[in-house]
Amino acid sequence: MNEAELRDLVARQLGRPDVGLDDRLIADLGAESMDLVTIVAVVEETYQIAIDEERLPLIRSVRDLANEIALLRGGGN
Amino acid sequence: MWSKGRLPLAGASAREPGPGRHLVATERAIFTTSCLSPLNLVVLVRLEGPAIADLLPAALGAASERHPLLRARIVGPTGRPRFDVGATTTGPDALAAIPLRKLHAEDAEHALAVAEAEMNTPFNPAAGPLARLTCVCRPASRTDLILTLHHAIADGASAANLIHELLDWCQAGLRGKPAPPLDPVSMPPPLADVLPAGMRGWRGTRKRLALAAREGRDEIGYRLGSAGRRRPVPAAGRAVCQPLGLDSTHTSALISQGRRQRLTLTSILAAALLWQANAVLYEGRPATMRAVIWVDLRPYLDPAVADDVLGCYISLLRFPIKVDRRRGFTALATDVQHQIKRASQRGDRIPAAQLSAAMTRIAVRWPVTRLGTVALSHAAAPAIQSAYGPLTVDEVRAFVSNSRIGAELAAASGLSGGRLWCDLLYLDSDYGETTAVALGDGLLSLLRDFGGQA
Repeated sequence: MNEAELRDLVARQLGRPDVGLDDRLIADLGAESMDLVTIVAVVEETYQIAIDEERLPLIRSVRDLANEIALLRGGGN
Repeated sequence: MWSKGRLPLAGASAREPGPGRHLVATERAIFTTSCLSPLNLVVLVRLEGPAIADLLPAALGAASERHPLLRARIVGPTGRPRFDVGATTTGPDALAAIPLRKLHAEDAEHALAVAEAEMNTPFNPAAGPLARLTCVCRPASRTDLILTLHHAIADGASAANLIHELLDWCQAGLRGKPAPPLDPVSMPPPLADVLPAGMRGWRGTRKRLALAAREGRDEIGYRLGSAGRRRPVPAAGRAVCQPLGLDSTHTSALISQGRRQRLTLTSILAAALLWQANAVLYEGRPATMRAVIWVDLRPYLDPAVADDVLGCYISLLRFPIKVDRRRGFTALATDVQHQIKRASQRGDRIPAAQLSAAMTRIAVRWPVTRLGTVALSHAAAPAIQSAYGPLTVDEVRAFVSNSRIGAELAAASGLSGGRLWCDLLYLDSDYGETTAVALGDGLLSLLRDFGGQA
């Protein structure tokens, strides 16, 4: 998984020109819960993973999302 | 119940007011409601592992030392109540320790009965403390903890964190180690001190006025749309809970289907409540109903308030919605999500919290506003781990007392161990068990069907 690719994916879903890896999805990027469900769904389709709904509250930043993807894909990039 | 004047002080333990602050926003709204009937947040945690009952008094003591609101009582005029925080849990000015009850039971059902009784047992806010714990020991190394908090001092996030701290303390005790050192946390700041930039000053005032105008307009539209169909406001009654849940397979299917359709679990559950309330309470006729979605404010505060600061930072999004079952459930869930999105994008969360005390006073005085309303509180509890050393957390679920000014059909929901729980909360003076069972069975069936869509 390429971090720039993920940042681009999140930026597109939120209609933003760019997002930083340490940007917080809600507090900094203004994402709503429905934006998050869309981002998660697109991430799942793109990377062929399944993100546990119970872990969603722990994903607060783009970096958290990148870490979760890496974890589910076996820790590699 | 207190109607006017000052809150009674706590008899022999009455003392000069200590440090603290006035209740604000949702805290005041909750306190006002709790003067009519209990408004408690009850968390049930089912554990498997060694007995911890003997470790709990020390764990509660440590929690009291750490969290000011666990040493608080509520004093002052009913129109301007304040948290009065005892400086310490020891010494002449100390409040009583957090009550701990130890029970023994053979079956798991007992804990649910305790939780229901806890929803209906008021605190004495003038005496404090505003928390209590029940420990139910069962055979086969099972323990059920039922933590009851006055809702004015805790929201779902901080209640979950408090459970985490208590279990962490017990874990250390079971290993014979000293408890993990935790710094005392400060008093939760009033909402006015943690407003995000767009909600301060004249911009905040403008948003509050806009929301008040919209609420008034919505109220008129709602009343016209539901005229002649509304059910009467019930007499005071007992808050009842009907626990419901899906197994992990159906939960997983529901979440997957929601993601495919880009629908949040909150939207799906709120729509399911509307659908069922319409079917069972309103004979399935098309009607304008109203949804109330309780929301966590913490992710939106600036500066952020950490989850381990015990306090109540919740608000609500409220909107009228046309329920016409002929359009199908997915269409209703999509409408609900659209309404939540609109309210969120307008930034209604913060002004709704700021207006909630006034809105509650209106609801108490003219309790017609509850009609045709469903309410959902979908909370996450990420702070609670799946295991604490030899202790395994089997299940976590929460209950919130309903009242006659609350919703006709309320629910608290969440995920625990890969399973969805969604507990229906109602008043026995509003409808009986038969109706509640019909509401619950239909709700589960609806959620299973939605998850099973191709």
